[in-house]
Amino acid sequence: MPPVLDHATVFVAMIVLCAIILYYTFKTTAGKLPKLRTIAGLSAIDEAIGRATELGKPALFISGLSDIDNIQTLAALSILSYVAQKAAEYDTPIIMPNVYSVTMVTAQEVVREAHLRAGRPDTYRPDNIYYVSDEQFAFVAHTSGLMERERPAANFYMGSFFGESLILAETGNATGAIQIAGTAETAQIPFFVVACDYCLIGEELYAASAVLSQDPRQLGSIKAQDVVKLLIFAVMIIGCVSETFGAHFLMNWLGGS
Amino acid sequence: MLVDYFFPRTPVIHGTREIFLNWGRIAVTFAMILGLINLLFSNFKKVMLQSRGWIYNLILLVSFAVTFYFSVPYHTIVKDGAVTTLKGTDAGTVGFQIFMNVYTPLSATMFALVAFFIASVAFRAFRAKNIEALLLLLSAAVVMLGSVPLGDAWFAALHLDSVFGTHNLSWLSNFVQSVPMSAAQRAINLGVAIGMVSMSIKILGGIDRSYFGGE
Repeated sequence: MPPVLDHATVFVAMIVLCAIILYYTFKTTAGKLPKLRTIAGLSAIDEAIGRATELGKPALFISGLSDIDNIQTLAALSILSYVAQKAAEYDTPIIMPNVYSVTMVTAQEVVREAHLRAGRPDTYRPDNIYYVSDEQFAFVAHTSGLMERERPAANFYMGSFFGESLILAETGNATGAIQIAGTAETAQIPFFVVACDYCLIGEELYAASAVLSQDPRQLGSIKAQDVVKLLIFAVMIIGCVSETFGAHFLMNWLGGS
Repeated sequence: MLVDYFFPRTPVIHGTREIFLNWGRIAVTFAMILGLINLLFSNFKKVMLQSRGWIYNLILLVSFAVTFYFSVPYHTIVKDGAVTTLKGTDAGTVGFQIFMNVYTPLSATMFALVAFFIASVAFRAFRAKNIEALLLLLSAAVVMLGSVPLGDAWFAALHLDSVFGTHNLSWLSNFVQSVPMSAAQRAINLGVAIGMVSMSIKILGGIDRSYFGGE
C-alpha cells in the first residue's frame, strides 16, 4: 500500500486544483472572455469538411481505441459534435467505425443531435456509425480497408491511440485525405505530427470543446489551467532552489526520496 | 472510488466500493450475453438477406462457432492412464492452438506494418527544410547511431574517443533521450493531467455536455 502521506498530498493538490478551476469557470462571463491563441487543428476542421464536400467524398471520424470511460474519448465526442454539425450543414456523410459498443451508441446520439441542430434530421444515417471490433488490429484492418475503398477526403483521429496510430495516419495520407489528429498519448503524438496535416497536442484535445463552443464558463476553465500551470512552475522553481541549498522540506512533503 | 483512494484504510468505504464493483461485474456479464445474442442475430440476418458483404458475416458466424466449440467447454484428456481436465483456453487444447496459430499471427502481421510505415514517415519528416527540421534530423541521427554498436565503432575509428573520452555517441543518445526529450514529454504530460482534471470537473458539473450531443 502506498504511504498515506502521498494520498494526503494528492488530496490537497486535488482540492486546490478543483477550487482554482471552479473559481475561474464561474467567474468568467460573456463580456470578459479570456484571450486564447488559435489552435490550427481546430480552425482546419471547417476547411477539411469543405474539402470533402467539394470532392463529394465522406469524412471519417475515429474516436480512439478506448471506451467511453476514458476522458480522451469524451473529448473526442465533443469534437465529433462540432464536426458532425458542420458535415450536416454541408450535407457530407460522416463514417465512424467504433471499437466499443457504448462509444458507438453515444456517437450515434451525438451525430443525431448535431443533425437536428443543423436543421437536417433527414440526412442522419445511423448505419454510418457502427461497431467493428474491440480487437486493436482487427479494427485497424477494417479501417485501413475502408480508407482504401471509400477514399474519405477528411480523416479525423481524436482520442486515445496506441500502436495503430501510424498505420491509420499513413494509410490516410496515402489516400490523399486531409488529416486532423488529436491525442493525449505522449508516445503517439510524434506519429500524428509527421503523418497528419494538423495535430492537437496533449491538452489541446481537452481544450477543443471549450474553443469550439465559445462557452464563457468552459473558456474560463482553460484560463484556470494556465494559472495551475504557473503554480506548479513556481513549486518547481522553489523545489530546485531549496534542494540546491540542502533544504528538503518540499521533497519530504511531496513524498519523494 | 475516489473516496476509497484517499481513505484506503476505512473498512466501510472499502466495503461499499467492493459492492459497487461487484454490481458492475454482474451487469457486465449480462451485457456480454445480450451483446453476444445481438451479434449472432444481426449477422445471421445479414447472411439470410444476402446484404452487401454478407460473406464476411458468414465467416464471422463460422469462426465464432468453431472457436466457441473448442474454447468454452472443458476438455478431458487421458494420457498414460492419467485423466486431466483442461479449460478450453488452456495450453494443449484446440482453443489455445486457434489463439496461438490464427489470432496471434494475424495481429502480428498487422502490427508489422508499422515498421514499413515508420520508414515512409521518417523519409518525409527528416527532410531538412528549416532549422527545426534540421535539428530533428540531427537528433534522430544521433539517437539512431548511438543506439547501435556501429555508432560507437565509427566514433572510435575516427579517433574521436581520444578527444571526447567516454562522451561518445551512445552517451549523447542517452543524454538526448533522458534530458531534452524527457523534459518535453513531462511538460506535455503536465498539461494533459491538468486538462484531464479540468475536463472531468466540467463533465461532472454538467458544464460541458457536448460529449452527449448537448450544447
